Amino acid sequence: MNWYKYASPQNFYPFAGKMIPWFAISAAILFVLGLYQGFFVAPTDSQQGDAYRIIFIHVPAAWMGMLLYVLMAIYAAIGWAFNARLSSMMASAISITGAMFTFLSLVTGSLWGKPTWGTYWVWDARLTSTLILLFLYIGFISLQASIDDHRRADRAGAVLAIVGVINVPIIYFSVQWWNTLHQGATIRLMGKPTMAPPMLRAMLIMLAACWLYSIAVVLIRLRYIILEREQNAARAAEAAGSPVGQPRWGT
Amino acid sequence: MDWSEFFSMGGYAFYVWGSYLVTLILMGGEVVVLLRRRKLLRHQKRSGLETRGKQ
Repeated sequence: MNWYKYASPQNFYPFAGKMIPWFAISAAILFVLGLYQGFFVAPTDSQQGDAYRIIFIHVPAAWMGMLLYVLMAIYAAIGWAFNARLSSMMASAISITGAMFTFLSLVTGSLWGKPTWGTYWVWDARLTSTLILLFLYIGFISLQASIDDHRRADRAGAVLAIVGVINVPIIYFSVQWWNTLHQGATIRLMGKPTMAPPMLRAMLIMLAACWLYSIAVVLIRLRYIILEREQNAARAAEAAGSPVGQPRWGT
Repeated sequence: MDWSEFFSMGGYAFYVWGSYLVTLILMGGEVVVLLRRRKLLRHQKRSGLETRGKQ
């Protein structure tokens, strides 16, 4: 299989269209399985009671917020360095979903903080750096929206995305570097996770569901971006008098 | 299984169900916005074709 073929938007468009239903269906199945495992199989926590069940969406959302930011920055950097249009479009497509998950992790975290810490919000290192992550996403999105020329918008976005990557390890290690209210990592790269297996299973299934959901919605958005840019290019060419018709590929 | 006990979430109903409600609104909202964008795009495409046909 020739993967370079899919580096061009024209070839990627129908390929992505074929993949989307599979990601969407498997995401839906895993959400149902994960919620079942989280609410009906995983036991009540001995310290936090049932309030801990927020973890099944809070932790996957927080991870997705960080991972999608790194992915967005990588795609933006590749698009900038190699002038790869599809890669820059991918960065734009990821940004909205990444911002959504970051916002979700802040809201669910605050709903979890109230019963366990007694407050919806503290200016703690973990929370503050996550809020900065949300602002970086919003900055990327509004910067791109404010520049009409796609290439310039992609380049400006790439600079912001790359500089902002420094914030991701800060979020990750914030609970170790600073004395914070937020608990430490339950799952580490090295060593055993400090969580009961039925709870851990529910969280991992939800994480997989969030990944598949993200791939599905990002691909849908990417297809729109490809189509819109192609239409704009066709319109511009038409205005300039050159005989360019509709995009050559269909929906 | 006692459903009223299940829905009360040991007294944390507001926080637990609130979290999942926000999740539903955000993810569902993202999907709805995307699907509406598809309709809009189709419409634009069609009208674009029409103007081209008249020329």
